[in-house]
Amino acid sequence: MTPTDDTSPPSGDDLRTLPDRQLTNDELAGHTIDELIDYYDAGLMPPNDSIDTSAGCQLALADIAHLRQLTMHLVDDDSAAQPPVDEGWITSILSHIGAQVEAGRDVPVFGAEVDSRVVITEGALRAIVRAAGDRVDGVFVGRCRFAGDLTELGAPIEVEVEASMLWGQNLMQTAELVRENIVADVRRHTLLNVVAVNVVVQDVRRPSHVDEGGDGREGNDGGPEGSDGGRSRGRGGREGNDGGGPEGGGDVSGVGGTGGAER
Amino acid sequence: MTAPEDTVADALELLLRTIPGVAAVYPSAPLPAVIVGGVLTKTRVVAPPRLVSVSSARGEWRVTAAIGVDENVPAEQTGRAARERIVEYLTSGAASPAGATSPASATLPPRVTVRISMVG
Repeated sequence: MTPTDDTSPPSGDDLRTLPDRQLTNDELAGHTIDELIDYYDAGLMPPNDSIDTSAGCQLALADIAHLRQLTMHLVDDDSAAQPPVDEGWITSILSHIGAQVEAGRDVPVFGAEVDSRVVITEGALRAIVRAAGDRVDGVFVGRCRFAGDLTELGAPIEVEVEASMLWGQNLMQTAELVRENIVADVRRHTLLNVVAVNVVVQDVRRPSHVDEGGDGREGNDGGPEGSDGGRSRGRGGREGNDGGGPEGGGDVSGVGGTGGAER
Repeated sequence: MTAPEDTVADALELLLRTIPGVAAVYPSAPLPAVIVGGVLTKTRVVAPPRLVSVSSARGEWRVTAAIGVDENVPAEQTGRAARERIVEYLTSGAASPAGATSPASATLPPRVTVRISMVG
């Protein structure tokens, strides 16, 4: 599988900086993620034509909206303890947004006619995949990659997504829901031949009062009963609590399983 | 004076916006051109750049349109409808491409690219 981007966690304290570039690129019509966040928080007012007419900006705004919802969910869960929402986690997701809105390749969705064609940008395709995953409660899909020749209609394509999930969910069941949504939505919107969807649980967010209480379940990767269902396998090679508490998230992976779907 | 390509581009933009499932029309020109065009427009040097790219030569239309589509309608279906409507318009005789030596209906088939840039 060939990675399409480099979205390693940002270094330093600059919340809006990727490791090797600022989050300003052509795909965002010259805007920064910062500006888009401000625009979103201001209720998309006053109207900004250059943002409103940029597909890349619209993709980023959709992600920011979902991130805001998920952040509120975390805060609600933690209302008793009032913990700070992990800014490093948010930063990591924001860095993904900047990288993932790039239009990328043209993916044919109809017609091999010489004189005309209908294509979908790789960025829009990623948006379909991520939105499908995000529809599952407590899930935020970060990086999304495609393996296979996207430019050839009918070629077998594998989809890999990295997802953050909230504490208290059965990882295997949740990953399966993510897979089902992705396959259904990609098939509905395109003629892509999706043969597999791989869900990597990148992070499990749990309320800090669970962490502080010491649940005694070291090694727990986030399953509601301290179990990963016996099917997922740890991939980070890290002992101890890899549940991704507010201070420890970001570098923990669990493979949620691989699902295939022949067309 | 408005060039025939600009007139067609304006007509196609309006046409696209009437198609069920089309939620937005985005600039289809390369982004640097869009940004430069926007700056020049603000300084009143040139007319605003068209969202739909239209060119014609040797009796042939070439059109590229970037659209955003409603997630409630299959994107492939909306994209296909957009392409068909554009082709219908260009072959209806409403306008003739540059270099056409015969009636519009007898010119080369238009080359149309519909790019779905946003779903949601």
